[in-house]
Amino acid sequence: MSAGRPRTRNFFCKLALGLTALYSLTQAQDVYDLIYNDVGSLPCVRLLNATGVIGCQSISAATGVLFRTDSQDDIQQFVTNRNLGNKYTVIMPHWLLTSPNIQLLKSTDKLGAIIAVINGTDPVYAVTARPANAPSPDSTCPNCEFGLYSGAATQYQWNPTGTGLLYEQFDFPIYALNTMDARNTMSYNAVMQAASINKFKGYTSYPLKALQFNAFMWGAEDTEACLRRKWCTPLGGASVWATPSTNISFTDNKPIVVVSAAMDSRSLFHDLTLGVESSLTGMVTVLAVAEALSRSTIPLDSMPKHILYTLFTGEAWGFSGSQRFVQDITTRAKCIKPAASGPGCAFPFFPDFAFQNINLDRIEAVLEAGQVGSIRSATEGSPSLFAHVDSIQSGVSAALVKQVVQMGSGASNDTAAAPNGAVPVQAADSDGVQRGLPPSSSMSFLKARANIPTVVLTSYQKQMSPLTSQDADDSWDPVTTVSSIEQAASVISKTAWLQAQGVADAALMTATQQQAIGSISVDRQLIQDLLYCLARNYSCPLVDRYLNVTANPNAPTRLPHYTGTLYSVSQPYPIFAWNFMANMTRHRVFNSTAPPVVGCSSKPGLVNCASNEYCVGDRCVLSLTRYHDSYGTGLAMNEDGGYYIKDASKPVWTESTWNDIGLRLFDVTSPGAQKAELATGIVLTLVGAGVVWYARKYVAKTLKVD
Amino acid sequence: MTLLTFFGCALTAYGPSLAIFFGCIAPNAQLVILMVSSAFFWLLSLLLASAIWFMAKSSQQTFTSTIIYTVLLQELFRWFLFHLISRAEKGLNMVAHHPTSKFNRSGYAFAAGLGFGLMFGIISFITQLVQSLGPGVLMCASCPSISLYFISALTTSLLILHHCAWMMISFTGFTLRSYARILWVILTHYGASYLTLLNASKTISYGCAYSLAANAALLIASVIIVVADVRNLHYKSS
Repeated sequence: MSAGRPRTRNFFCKLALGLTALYSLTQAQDVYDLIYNDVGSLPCVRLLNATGVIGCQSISAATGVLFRTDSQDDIQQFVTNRNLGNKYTVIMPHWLLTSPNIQLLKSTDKLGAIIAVINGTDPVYAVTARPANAPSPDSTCPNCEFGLYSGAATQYQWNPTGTGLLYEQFDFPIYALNTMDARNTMSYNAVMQAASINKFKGYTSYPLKALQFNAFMWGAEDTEACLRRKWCTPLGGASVWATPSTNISFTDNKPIVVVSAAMDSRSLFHDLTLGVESSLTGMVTVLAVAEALSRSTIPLDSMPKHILYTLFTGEAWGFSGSQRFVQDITTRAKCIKPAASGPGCAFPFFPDFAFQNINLDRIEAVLEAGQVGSIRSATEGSPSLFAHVDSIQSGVSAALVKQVVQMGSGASNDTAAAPNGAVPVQAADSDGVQRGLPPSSSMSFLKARANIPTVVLTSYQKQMSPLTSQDADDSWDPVTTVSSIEQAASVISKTAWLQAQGVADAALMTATQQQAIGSISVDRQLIQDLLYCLARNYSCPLVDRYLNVTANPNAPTRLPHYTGTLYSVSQPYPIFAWNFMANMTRHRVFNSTAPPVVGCSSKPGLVNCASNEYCVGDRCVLSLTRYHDSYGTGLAMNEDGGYYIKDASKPVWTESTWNDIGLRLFDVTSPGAQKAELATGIVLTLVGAGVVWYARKYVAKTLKVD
Repeated sequence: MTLLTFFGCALTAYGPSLAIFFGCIAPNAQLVILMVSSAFFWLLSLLLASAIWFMAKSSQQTFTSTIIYTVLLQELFRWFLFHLISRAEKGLNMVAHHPTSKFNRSGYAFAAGLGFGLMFGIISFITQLVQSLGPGVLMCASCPSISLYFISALTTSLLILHHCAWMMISFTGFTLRSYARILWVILTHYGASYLTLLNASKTISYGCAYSLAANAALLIASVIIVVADVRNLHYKSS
């Protein structure tokens, strides 16, 4: 008897399991869809550096009943409300997401997760409701620990109101909602509707709507530990450099004029990072400069100096892009293991060695466009542009800054008054205070060679825009910002042109030169188009001309300007920048009547470009435009493709790997009801057992069987 | 917190029947075998029912029509099972504790009923029970303040016990050719099945309460019949 029991039970178990599996296959998905509503998500994720972690992590999937707070008072009420006996997902406008509020919410023990609404259809979350003075979440001096003055006893703090929120770590999920496209609007509507139901029920009458967050981050401790465990990937991407001098060589002894800007930015929610003021205005400026200079009637590749455009990625992460570029052009690494095919090298990894034609010692000027959007100036008086120079060797840049100011004034005298309502340009130290360079890519060049004349053009004099690294840095003033960028592009293009011509004083130009510089004009419409394409809708005619994005059934709209992880394909903006620069710097044969070769992209196979040419916007062009890998210079790649920390004092930012990140919306019953369910189950089982026991006893007695 | 719901529902649905299993069936090997074979018969009835359901595409969402042939098939297989057990009864009696006891058939019927009921309980409720482990719940449409998991658990618990009673009544009915008993079983089986539809009703408020109360009343009535039958048997034998 005892031998038979386990066998039958085993059979029974197997049968039940088999059937359950069969049944579950057909039913489980239907039931899941009835219970759960999976919504799209914009998460805050974990990043790691040499000393620790920042960003968000949640060890277990956090669940919280939706609770809507529209104001600081609502948050206070949530904290003091004693009727709330569960874990909650607190929804708030993004400007209330501050360290003190987060600490306050955490102290209640009621916090499950936070949802920050960046932009919503509800008036409370609208762009117009944003407070004018929301501070930057970046540090008081962004990336200064990797900058030119990192060794100094005291550094000028360029972002004094910065809250440092980006550098904090949170052990609960934080997500964003933003009605920026159809999919995210759906998520927003679903969550806000659920929150309204909860609010209507007073947050006490269950069932209430709850959200569950999956946000487990694998990376822990710091970059060193997570790289060893292979649970993180270096932050990075592709920088783009280009020069009209297709014949540039390391030994041609021709000086180089660098025109530079950063392409990427950062914010708490990487999917939302646009950084319109933070970096996009600078990027647009350099693209507009390239377009303006391409009109020069004196061919750029015939000038006494080379012009080199550099657009760096990874700048938001300790100037990773510019530092790596400068490091690579100065170390001139030898190839140890050549690539299987092509001009590149497998170890150390380089797709090609064209960058070795750039000689750092020949760089004679660096002109950089920083935050030139004057976005906040629209409400704070008239916009102005400021030319910043290095405070240690300010004399080196004196002539250059004079020329910049001169170009800004539109005349050969150096007064700050600009004609025709153009944005005035002045030296940043015109108030007598030498603050040095603000955080910028130029610092990377100066770190390698301190005596390069350098000017960084920004729309601030003393303090970076409070929009710096904000998720809400997503809009611009259609007049002020465009005018400001137009003036910055005009000043930089003319200065670069004069520098490339070797003209120290605009007053001493020859007649030909005066005529030629007149041909350089910045296209205001192009600036508007670039801002629109890169911040609002990537599927615009301008991008489409180069990349045929609208052929994609899921045509992209708003794309983030977060650099992402190295060799991931999530950042299209360097691809656009490459195509645009390749077209603008393409080799032109003047007075040539030969028609351009067109159709390399629309008629593949029929039209083929020459081996040294690229197909750019359906046209074969000869251009020296290259991508350059960007990742923290503290990191290095070893021969098997893994990464290790070479120098922990340099940037080593990595991003943690994670499982599927997601949100799902569903009903929950109250904790009290759940306890009642368990109690009922236990009582029923005990009653059942009691009845059986009693019945057996009764049967044995009455029926006289044992 | 959802572990509470999971264990609460699991104990509610299967606790009483498991108590019966361990208290009455498990100590007796041939009852266990009977229970398993009866569970298999129930599955066969479900197999046929699902084949019909699969073919009758137009009525797949209409539970009222699905119930008609499902219940009928279950009753048919109950009858097949009775014949099978009748044939095996001699052998079963030989290995029984009391080979000559008049109550052996009642015991077999009870074990077979529990097999029917438990298999029904597992098939109908396990998907929901697995889902109850997750954080989200489905609310009962007719009682929006109680989760469907819990209502289903209570219904499952009642129906498993129902199956025990129905099997005993039918076996007596088949043995005595008492059509009243057979008719009672068929009618209450339909009644109990249609009552569960009240749970999902959106128009009848507190539908789940009516359904559970009526089902419990039917169960009590069936149990009274069972007790009466067993007493009859007792007086006859003594």
